Amino acid sequence: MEAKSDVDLLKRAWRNEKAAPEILHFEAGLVQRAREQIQLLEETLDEFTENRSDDLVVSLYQMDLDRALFLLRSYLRIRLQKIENYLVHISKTNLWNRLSEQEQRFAKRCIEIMEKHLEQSVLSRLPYGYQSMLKQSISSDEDDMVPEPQLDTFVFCKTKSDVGAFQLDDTGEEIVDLVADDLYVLRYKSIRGLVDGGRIDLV
Amino acid sequence: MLYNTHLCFLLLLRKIEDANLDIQTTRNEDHFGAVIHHLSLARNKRCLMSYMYNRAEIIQSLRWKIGPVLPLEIQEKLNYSEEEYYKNHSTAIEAYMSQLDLDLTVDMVPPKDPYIRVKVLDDIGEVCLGDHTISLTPQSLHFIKRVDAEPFILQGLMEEFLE
Amino acid sequence: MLSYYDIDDILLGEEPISVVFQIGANGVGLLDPGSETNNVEKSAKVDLPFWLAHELYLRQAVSINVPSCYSLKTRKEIQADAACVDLRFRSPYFYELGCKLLPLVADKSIGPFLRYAFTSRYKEILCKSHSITGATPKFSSKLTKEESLLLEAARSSMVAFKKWRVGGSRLEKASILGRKRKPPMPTQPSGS
Repeated sequence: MEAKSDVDLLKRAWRNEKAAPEILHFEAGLVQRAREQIQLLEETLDEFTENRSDDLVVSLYQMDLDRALFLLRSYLRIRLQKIENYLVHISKTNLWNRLSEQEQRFAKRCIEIMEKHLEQSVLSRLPYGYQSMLKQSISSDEDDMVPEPQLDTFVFCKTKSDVGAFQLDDTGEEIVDLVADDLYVLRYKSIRGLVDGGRIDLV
Repeated sequence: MLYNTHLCFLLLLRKIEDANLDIQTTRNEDHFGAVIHHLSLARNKRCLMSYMYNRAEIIQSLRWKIGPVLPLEIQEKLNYSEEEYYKNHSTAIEAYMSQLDLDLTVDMVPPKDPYIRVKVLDDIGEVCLGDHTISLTPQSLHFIKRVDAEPFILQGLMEEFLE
Repeated sequence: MLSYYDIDDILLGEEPISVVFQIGANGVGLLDPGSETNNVEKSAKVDLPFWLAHELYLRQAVSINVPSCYSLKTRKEIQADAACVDLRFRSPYFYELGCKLLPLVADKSIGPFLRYAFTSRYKEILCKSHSITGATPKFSSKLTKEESLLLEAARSSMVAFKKWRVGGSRLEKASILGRKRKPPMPTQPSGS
């Protein structure tokens, strides 16, 4: 069970990213390896076509390749969408370090163009003191306009191994015994650390 | 209207100052009048911003749904700033994709068969797919790679042909 | 807090709330149609949109009266037959508004009442989502915004499931099946 292929790992990363309300760490090494494997598959396929191999074999390889490509594309797309939704929030917090270099560049550009767009269509026409994209007015103490992901949403998750008694809230009133290979529905906020540490999978 | 509200706000603040009261701590009728004007401004800002922001979200999702060029009937509904926003946002996505050397706008649904049967709806003309060119005339049927067909289907130029 | 840009949250803020001013406010006479000056006097009773009422309450300028949609009459109707009550007419944001009002008013019984109303209507919505097809103006016109979304979610997932069963392709199953069929199984009770 433990020895998993990179495509399996990519599938797991994809599922986690899909189900988590906030952006997760970019799986740089995994993406790199998956891309190498995809390239290898493509080359193999080209050889097959040149040698006029059995159609069935070719299409099986093609499907394998398509599946891997879909996972990779979808994984990167979901991340871009999260970046678009929580642009400013991500750029101001340490979530920023979870982005790949390319994603950071993308995020910077997005912030610039969103700012320009809102600036010229609304903000520049508001009275003095109300022109910020981050603060409702100059009397706001903090940035009170920035959309943030809802971390207390519920997620389906599956334990990989025994975690043991796990505290769900800050006060220690709710404790769940997390057993290996079991399904749970919990608040994302409370298992955030387990997801980050790779001890639990979202489904 | 916003400026009118702002003016009332400033006038009330002035009134408090003129009465030689501390603007930070005074809680009289003028203060609450000013507060209401201030809150109204912030509320109006929220409505305006949300309108533009939610439209912008729809506009940027079109890049994934339709492609780099918007059909006229949608373009007509955008104002100048929104058109510009769409173009810039498109360019940002394209820049990201070219850094990665991977097209992310295909494969929007999980793949089934690598090849699909499609029916051409509009005159697309000669298209180069892989190592050969095919002529996509209206009503013609083709058996081509799903990834090649996807952009055409998204734009409504082809449809998947199911028996 | 919900997103600054959340349209529903903004619309919820438009719901009228009856308040009593604890102190006067100058230069805002348009809020009080009964006022002869450009000011609102102390102890004037005025209907304000929720967003303004809330902010003024936090500044101790007004006290808030519980809106009539949470009145004893509504509560009795809900108790008699929850699913038949037209909550949308009372407020499309019946639950959300109630939750936001709770900390602002003395009457804390709104909380349990909302929970009771929601759970008893929820059952009905799930049943209806399976049985009804196409336009169902009579039932769905009584639902609040949140409830309509639930009904729609239940319905579209049924449709998606049926479509998947008919049109799924063989080689796909491994990955897709794993995700779509997962629901309950032996799930531990979660933190509520």
